[in-house]
Amino acid sequence: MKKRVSVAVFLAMVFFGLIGAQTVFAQEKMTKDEWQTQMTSATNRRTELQSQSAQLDKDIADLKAKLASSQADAKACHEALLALLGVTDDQWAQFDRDLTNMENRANQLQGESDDQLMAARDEIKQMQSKLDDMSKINISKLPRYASRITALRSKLDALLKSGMGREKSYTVGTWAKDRDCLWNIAKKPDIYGNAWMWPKIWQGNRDQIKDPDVIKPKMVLKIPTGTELSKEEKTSANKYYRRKGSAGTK
Amino acid sequence: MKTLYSVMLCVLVLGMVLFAGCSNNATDEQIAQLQALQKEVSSLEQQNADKQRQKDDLNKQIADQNDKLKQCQQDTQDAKTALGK
Repeated sequence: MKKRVSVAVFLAMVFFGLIGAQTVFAQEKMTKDEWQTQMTSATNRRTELQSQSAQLDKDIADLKAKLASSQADAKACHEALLALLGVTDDQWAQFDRDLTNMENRANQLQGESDDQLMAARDEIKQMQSKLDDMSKINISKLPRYASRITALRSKLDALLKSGMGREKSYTVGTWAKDRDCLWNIAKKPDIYGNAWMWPKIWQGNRDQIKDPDVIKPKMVLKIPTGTELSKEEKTSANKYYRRKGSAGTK
Repeated sequence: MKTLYSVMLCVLVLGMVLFAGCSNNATDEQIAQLQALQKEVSSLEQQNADKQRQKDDLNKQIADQNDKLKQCQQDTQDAKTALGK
């Protein structure tokens, strides 16, 4: 009897233990209702996404066609414009690059002192000359370039003027009184203090001095800055010396 | 007492049968099915996001081309005027 009660108690404990275990297990595991809810939700979302995907595919196909058409129109227009201007793509790109480089250089020069501008005078003149050449190309007639060219030209003029403001000048006196010749002028301490620098005065005043042996009183000579002769000045001086030498031997 | 014991045994056996057969939980297969569906949804979301990005990019490219075309048309008009054509 006692044994039966014990067995019964044991079985009861197993039973209630199983019930308890099921309760805990059920809390961790998804119920069928929850599963069904999530399945329905996910299925609806999938349908919605599939529909969106189809719409996006259609939109993308339409946009690709539209892009191809836009590209073709832009290309045709560009080719017609090149033909109208008489230039190639490369020439146009080069023109744009050159103009941009010159604008950058001019901006850089704007921050420099008058003395540095004076030293960069030849470079500025070269830029002006190049700009003149560029102005002859049809692309320069396009307003967006024309305005840039005009602005750059003004800037270069101003830079050159700033540099020129630092340039010294010398008014030639008479030989009888002042003993002025290019050699003696260059020798003056307030000019170069070096007689061998005379070709610099000559080359800087080629517009008024054809023969370096002939300068006239009251001539106003520009005195270019610098402490050395440039390659061109040396060449001109050597030519002069050779000419003088050969004239002397004749 | 023997009857009580028999009744308890029956209840226990019945309880175990109910526990094993009438559980309200989703089966492993059902869980796997749900997970596969959720994975598919996630993949579709990713694909749609990529497509949306592609669409935005195409719209941007078209806008760029239209700007180019507009500029070209303006340049052509300006060139014709400047060159007297």
